[in-house]
Amino acid sequence: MTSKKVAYIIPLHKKSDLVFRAMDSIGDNGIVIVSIPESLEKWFNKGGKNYNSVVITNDKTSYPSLVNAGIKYVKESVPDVDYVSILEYDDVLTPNSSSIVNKYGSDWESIDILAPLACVVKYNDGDDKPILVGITNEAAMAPQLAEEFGVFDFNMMLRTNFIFVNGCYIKPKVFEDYGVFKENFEMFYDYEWTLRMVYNGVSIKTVPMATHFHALTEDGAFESHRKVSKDIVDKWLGAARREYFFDEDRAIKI
Amino acid sequence: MAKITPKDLDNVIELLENGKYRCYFFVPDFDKESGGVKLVYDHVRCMNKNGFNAIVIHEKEGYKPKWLEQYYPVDEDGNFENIPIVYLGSGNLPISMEDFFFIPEGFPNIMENLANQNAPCKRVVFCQNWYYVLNALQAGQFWNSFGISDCMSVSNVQTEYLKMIMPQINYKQVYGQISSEVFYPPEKMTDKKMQVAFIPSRDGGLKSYNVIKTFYAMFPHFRFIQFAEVRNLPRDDYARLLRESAFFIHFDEFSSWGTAPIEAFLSKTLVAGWDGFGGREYMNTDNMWVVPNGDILRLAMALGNMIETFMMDDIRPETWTAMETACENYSETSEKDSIIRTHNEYRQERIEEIMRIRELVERANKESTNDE
Repeated sequence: MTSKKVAYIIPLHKKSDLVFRAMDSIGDNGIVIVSIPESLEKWFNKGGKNYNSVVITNDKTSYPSLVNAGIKYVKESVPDVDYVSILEYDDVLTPNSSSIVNKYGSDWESIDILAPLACVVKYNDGDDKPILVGITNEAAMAPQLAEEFGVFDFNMMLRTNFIFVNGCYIKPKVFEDYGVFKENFEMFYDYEWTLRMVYNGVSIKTVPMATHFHALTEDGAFESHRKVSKDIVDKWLGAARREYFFDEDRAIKI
Repeated sequence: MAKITPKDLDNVIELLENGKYRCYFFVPDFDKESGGVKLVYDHVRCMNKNGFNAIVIHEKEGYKPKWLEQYYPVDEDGNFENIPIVYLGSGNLPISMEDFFFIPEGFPNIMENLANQNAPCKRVVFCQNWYYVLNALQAGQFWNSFGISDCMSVSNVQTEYLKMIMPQINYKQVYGQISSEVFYPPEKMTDKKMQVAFIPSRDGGLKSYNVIKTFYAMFPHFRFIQFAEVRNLPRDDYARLLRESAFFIHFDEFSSWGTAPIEAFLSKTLVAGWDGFGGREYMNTDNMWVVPNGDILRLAMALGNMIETFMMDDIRPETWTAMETACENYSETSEKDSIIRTHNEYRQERIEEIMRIRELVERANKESTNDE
């Protein structure tokens, strides 16, 4: 088992002290890259001055653009990492996440993207102990967990409308070969990306262990799609199912 | 009946001392795969490989459990190597004073028949399941009611129970063995599936299904966990299933020592379950998620806890070590050592017993000569 070097990208689009909890959970287990809009730079540097992290600022504020800026930084500054992982600012790594990544990364050397379980947790007031309340995208992962499909199957992914990219461990070469997230997607940019990856033969396999807690917080960054109508959601899903075929980030009409 | 003489008894002692005696093991004709039947066959084979003369007795002439063919090599005539079989039905079983007759705990009718026939051999109960002992006997009836004074038991917890209900019996313990050539871990632990293997509970599976439904109800986020039922699977398929499963759930409330958790331990499969009382010999909170027998709710909770701990990669190294340690008692070597030791002790005790009988016969002969 070899020790895997991981770059964690934390996109942060608004002020929230929860980002420091996320950074704490990574600790020395990886390179922390916090990707923020320019407007947050002053606030972040004040709060995060004690953290051993890299802060990159952007003129764009959308989630995929913040992530893409982090990926660009990895490519230019730390190209030798084994994996890139995206961590939401209100999430935290599980205590044994690095041993899980080392173990599965070593045994599953040929797999491009390790997709561990993401545990949905809540926190009681005044208590830092996470309480497990669910697991994200387990419906998509269930056949994987039984190893009926081996790696993610493209047709299965077309039927399954959401794959959780946050918390996955992605080999950097995948971004080089098949591109980053499409910033024209207001939602389901990660679905389009995973469809594009699997269509191009990138292997994704579910790791039956949890490497991060996905926190249920009031100010969740990832809730936007729930505030729009089903009609809009379906249109963006349809867009993802059309656009994965194209490498370029084309303008999308919804 | 011919009068027994000291010379006859000298002959018996000589035969015992020279190992020229037979150990019969009664086995019911049972067509379904049974751990208990296999344990007797293993025992007999082990004895024969180590210089004893052990023989299986079945009831119907010509009967042989077909399902055992996957476990033992068969010779040209279709007989199991090192496991001779004779039949009660043949009616001409040679049984002498130097011989031993081992009877399973669930067959007091055999014990009674042998007592009624004044069978000259030493009779011993081979107890594999504490639960059947009193179920098979009538109230107030014990093994000594049939002239039996010895019992060979397969677990120390079971022996403790037997000592409590029948303190007048002498107990010895033998170990069974689980083959690490059949049950072994996968090449990589990352090959394990999020799957729970289980053997249904003895009530036709009702309690096991209730535990599974309770588990799904209590942990809806674990609905991706699959359960794989072990029913009528050939041994190698069963071993493969254990090997590929991350978890095993043990539903046996009445086991003597419980082979399945050891098979799971050897496969590096985590276990939650009931200890079946007899399994307390090795099942404990160090090596598994053990809960009180029959407690459905707590077993469902323990299963959830075990899966969550695994998912977090938080299984303590001590747990894996404790699983390995538990298996050490049930290796081929421990089985062999315990069997040789036990049967040598039986032989020695029988020699001493016959010597005592000889003294009594001699004394009685002297007294009758004096009277004349």
